[in-house]
Amino acid sequence: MTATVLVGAAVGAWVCLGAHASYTDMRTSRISRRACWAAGTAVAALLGAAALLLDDPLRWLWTIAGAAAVALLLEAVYRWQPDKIGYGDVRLIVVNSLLAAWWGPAWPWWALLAGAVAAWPAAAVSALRNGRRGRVRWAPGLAVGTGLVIAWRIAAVGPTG
Amino acid sequence: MHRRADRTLEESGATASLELLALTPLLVLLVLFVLWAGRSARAGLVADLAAEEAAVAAAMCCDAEYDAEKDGPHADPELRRELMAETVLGSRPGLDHLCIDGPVPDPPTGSKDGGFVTETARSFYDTAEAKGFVHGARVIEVHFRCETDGAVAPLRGLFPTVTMRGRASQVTVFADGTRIAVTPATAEEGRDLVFEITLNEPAAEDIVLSCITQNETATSTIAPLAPEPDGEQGEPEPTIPPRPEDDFVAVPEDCGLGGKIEKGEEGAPVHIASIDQDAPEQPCEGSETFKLIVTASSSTLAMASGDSGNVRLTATGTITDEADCSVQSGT
Repeated sequence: MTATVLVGAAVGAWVCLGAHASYTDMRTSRISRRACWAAGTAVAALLGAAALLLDDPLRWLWTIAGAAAVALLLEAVYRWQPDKIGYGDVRLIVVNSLLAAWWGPAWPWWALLAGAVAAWPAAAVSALRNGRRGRVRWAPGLAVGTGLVIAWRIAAVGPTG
Repeated sequence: MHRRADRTLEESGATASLELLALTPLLVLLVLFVLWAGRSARAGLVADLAAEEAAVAAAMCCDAEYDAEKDGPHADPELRRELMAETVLGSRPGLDHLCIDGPVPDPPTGSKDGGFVTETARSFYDTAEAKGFVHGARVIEVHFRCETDGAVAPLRGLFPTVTMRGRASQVTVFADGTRIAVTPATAEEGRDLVFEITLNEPAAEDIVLSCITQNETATSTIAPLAPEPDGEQGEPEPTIPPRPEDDFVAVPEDCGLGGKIEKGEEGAPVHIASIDQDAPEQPCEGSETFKLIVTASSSTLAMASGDSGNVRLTATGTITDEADCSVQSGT
């Protein structure tokens, strides 16, 4: 079993979470906490094993640190303005960041940026319908944005680059 | 009701406000700017460390004697230093990744070298150039530039670039000092023996010399003269036996060089004449030896020898007598 396979499995686990979260968010405006925990744990474990196979355990620590930075900021935003973002989105973003940080500390932020931009069309529609008080179901946008960033990194440097 | 509470625990709301979606990119760009600044600064640090490693490697790698005809152009120390520096810079983790075009040579303004390494030599003395860096310093400097965008953007060059310069120098001091030597000499009886006093580099200042000779076996076979009486009759014979004549002419104290090797000279010969003076009944004397003792004084020599400034050298002079010996053995 190579590190590439383990990273591929982590990406697969994340794809399942992205699809599930997008589906439930569109239907019920909710994201399963259990699904986030399960997928997050699987991604962390698979990336940790990949880092060990690559003989670079520090990479896993940097991955955790990269995701933690994003998590801290979102936690602060949530505590400060709890009505601006649902905690389901926070959890989903943390798992997204955990995977994206595998390629470096900058990539979780790019994934978040891409997720926000991907949600802009839905935000525009919501603004037209509901004005400034409109809300957006963000999970599909976050999944698409993170998926684009991960696909970009895999294409550029490969799963273990 | 119970089912509803479970659902609240199990699932969380997943909607975001429009303001948050609008502000998130700005917030992210702000964070990325901080990352960009940090990674760019790291590029500068990595560049300096890499330059330091390359300078050490270039200074240590290529001091072997070099003969262009024998060893070929690839053995040129300058070329080898350049290759060594390039290899070290190329293998430095992170440098190739952080620099958009990799490390690029950045020689100082006015330098004739266009590569990563420049080499300069400085003598401790007034000589224009210290030959072989015997008592001088050599400075190996490595210099390159690294244009970096912090490697935080998906596309290289998307973020502004900054140019970091990696510079480091390695100074090697060659303080061996001037080394002086005297060669042994051999000559047929009746001819001059030529001792060569040599320096390993041109003298940085005048070197004062004094010479004496000390006989070993180079004596004449002619019977020594009896000591002259000191005027008083009936006195006993002197206790000191009569000294036979030397078979060479003692060198003057100034070694025949005017007492010094002048600044800029690399040495001088000392001539000592041998004497062909044999008793008829014993013409063959075989090989005879004597010693030449040279004392050299100079502040530069003092540095080499570590003593009070005098270097004492000894060489053996050999006087052969093949002509007489071959005649004697033939008869």
